[in-house]
Amino acid sequence: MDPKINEIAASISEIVKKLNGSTLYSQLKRAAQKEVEKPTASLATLKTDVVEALKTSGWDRLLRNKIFAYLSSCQASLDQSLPFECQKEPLMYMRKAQANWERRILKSMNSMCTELSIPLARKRPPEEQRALLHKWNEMGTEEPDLSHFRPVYAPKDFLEVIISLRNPNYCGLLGPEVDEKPSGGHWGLIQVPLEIPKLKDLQNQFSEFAHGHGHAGVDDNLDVPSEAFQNERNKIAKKVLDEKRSVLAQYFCRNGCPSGHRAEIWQLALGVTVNHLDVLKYEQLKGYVLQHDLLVDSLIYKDVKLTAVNDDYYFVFEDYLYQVLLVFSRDTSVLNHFAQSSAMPPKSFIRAQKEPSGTSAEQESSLTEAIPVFDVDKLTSPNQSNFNYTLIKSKPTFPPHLGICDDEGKLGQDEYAVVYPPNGVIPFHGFSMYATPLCYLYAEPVGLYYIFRQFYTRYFHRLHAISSHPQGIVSLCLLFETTLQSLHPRLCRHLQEIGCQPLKIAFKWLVRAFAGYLATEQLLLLWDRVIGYGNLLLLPILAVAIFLFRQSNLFLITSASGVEASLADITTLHVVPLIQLVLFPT
Amino acid sequence: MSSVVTVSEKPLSCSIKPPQFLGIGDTQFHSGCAVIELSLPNMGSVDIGKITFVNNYTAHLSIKMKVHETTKVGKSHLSWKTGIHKLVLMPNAHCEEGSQGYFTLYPKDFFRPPLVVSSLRFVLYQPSPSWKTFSLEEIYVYPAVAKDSQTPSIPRWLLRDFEEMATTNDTKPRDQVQSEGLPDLDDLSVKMQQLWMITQNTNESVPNVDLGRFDVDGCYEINLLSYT
Repeated sequence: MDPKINEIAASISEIVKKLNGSTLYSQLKRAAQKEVEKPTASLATLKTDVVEALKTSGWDRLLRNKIFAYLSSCQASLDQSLPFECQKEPLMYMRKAQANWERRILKSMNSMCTELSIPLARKRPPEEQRALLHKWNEMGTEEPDLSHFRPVYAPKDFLEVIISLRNPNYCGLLGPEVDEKPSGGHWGLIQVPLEIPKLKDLQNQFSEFAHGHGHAGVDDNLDVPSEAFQNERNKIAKKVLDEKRSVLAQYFCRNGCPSGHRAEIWQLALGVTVNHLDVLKYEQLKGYVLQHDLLVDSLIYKDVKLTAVNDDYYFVFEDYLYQVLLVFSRDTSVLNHFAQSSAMPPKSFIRAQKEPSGTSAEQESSLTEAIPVFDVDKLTSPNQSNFNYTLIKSKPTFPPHLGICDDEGKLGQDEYAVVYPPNGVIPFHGFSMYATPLCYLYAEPVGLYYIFRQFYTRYFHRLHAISSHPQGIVSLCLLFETTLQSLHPRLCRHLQEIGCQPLKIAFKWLVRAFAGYLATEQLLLLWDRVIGYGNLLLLPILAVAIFLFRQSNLFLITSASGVEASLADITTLHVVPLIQLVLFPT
Repeated sequence: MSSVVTVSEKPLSCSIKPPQFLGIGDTQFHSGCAVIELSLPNMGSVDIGKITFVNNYTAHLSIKMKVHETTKVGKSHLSWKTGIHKLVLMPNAHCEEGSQGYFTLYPKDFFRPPLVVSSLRFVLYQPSPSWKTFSLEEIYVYPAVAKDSQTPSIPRWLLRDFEEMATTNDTKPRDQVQSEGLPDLDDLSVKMQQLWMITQNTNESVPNVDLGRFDVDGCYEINLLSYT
């Protein structure tokens, strides 16, 4: 039998399983029941009648959109017979590198906790909860002292880790003895032999960029005035929205959305609907934010202050960003994306378990105020039994049945294990820029939130995890280096001679998907294509294009810092013509 | 009564030699070819139902199998047959894809059914010089087991009533006689149906939607992250 058939069968059953119990499922069931109850229903043609009625009343489109969203968000169903971690990431050295990287992040978080003597999570007292609720819409006015907080890591640190990735079984073209030299296999910084698409593959994949296709964001055809083109696109956009089909909307994005319809088209293409249940869910998550104060919240504050607030385009959205990002950190449905990513969510063990009954309020309050002491030297040891994890105040006075973590404590006990933060994502320097550009499109925090979540779980999570996935950051970096080398070897040579590795400059663009570097309209045109093609491959292509476009300037520069300075401001660039320059040069 | 061939869940214990790299004399050069011998001791010969392994940088794989053949004269002798020829494990020998993947081979993947096999030879090819070494790991051979497809027989005590009922036209009085002291069967079955409906309903209404709680019994007080 064709193995494809098995795959299709597996994904069908996977989707059916997911649909079962979803809101859409019960809605469909109810609609079908109503159909059956109609007096015109006859037993003989019941099945076809119901199916037909569901089609005409538009339910089948919703079902199709839902299935399309499932298909584009999860590629492969997991095979029970294989080890879970091998399906997340097949290459062992990648797994190890990712695990080491995660451990580094954890250590950094833990040492921040110990230095500042603050817990990772604590329950807010009721007054504080009320105060936070009161200023929910103007959290930016609050100026907490965040000078002691530092971002857990910056893209620069992450690049170093990616550069140091090596396959222990790889010996490059020149034999194993040149391993130490940086120029062993590839000329660039990435030394991992991943398969990347060739220019020809890219041309096939992105064939809509060929000349002759009308694109929003480029005025190259003098025969058609740009206004007429805009009107035409607007008309089509309206039609697409009326059709209410995700596939069409996604395809429409390939040529760029008109700004007036972008928000709706993106929602349709990504399968994001905001109904009353979603609003309810958002409110619930907001409640969770009020309940607990997390260290991650301070990191988010700090990051928004450092990035969006400092940006001329985005500072006005400060309050929105806090709301959306704080809510995001409490959303456990984000955890689902870890099944497709090489990353693992950080784990912790709760400090104390509440007594189900009979705990006096006094005991409880002393419990929440207990200050932890840890032995900093021992923290660096990965062995958990070395944790010295005690509660100063409460330990001697607490009755044993309260289940406090003492030396051996709750650590390692699965029933007290929790994911931290609840969504498993620790923000890094620049993380908030994934959400910031979307603020231009969605005036309501709820709509903004669900689009952002979809963007992150579909695409952006790949930009900061080490994996061999074709959309992973390692592959994207390699694609950037290889494409630049093959298109303009002389420029590469020049840059290397003056001690400037192009990836060191392009990496920050890639990690943030260009958010905060391009002008907003241009960035949205780029993200149109991310949705339209459902992948991130255009990011490295654009990065290559920027180097090619500025080549005459770059050839004149003779120092690495000069190159960096000349590429610091790319807000004047136009995305679509640049991508065309690489893919379909004239 | 037909029999269905299934795959045993337990792999065969077999002896697997480490890969022998093809070379000329003692000189070291990259021939890009290696052989792993796998023999099935104490088994005589087996019908193979499944082979699983983990790749370790082998680009293509051929499998030769030593099978019992019966000649026209009726004599049985052993001969080597090709089971699989240059199966692609890594689509691009220079790149990582498939290099550490899990693979499963079923009889349908073989040129000829892997029956009465007494030993196997895995011929590994790696044309790319980029890799220091290559082999296959965790090779397991699962035998095919013939199972009778007959459904398990119904116990006789269940059949007896049935037969007795079939012989009489009016079963009701007889039933009542037999079930003296028990509640009315019809009444019971109606109630059972209701019960069945209720369980069915609850089964269906169990949502697979995550409630989104992240705390343990309302508590989410954490000090440090765990490294394990």
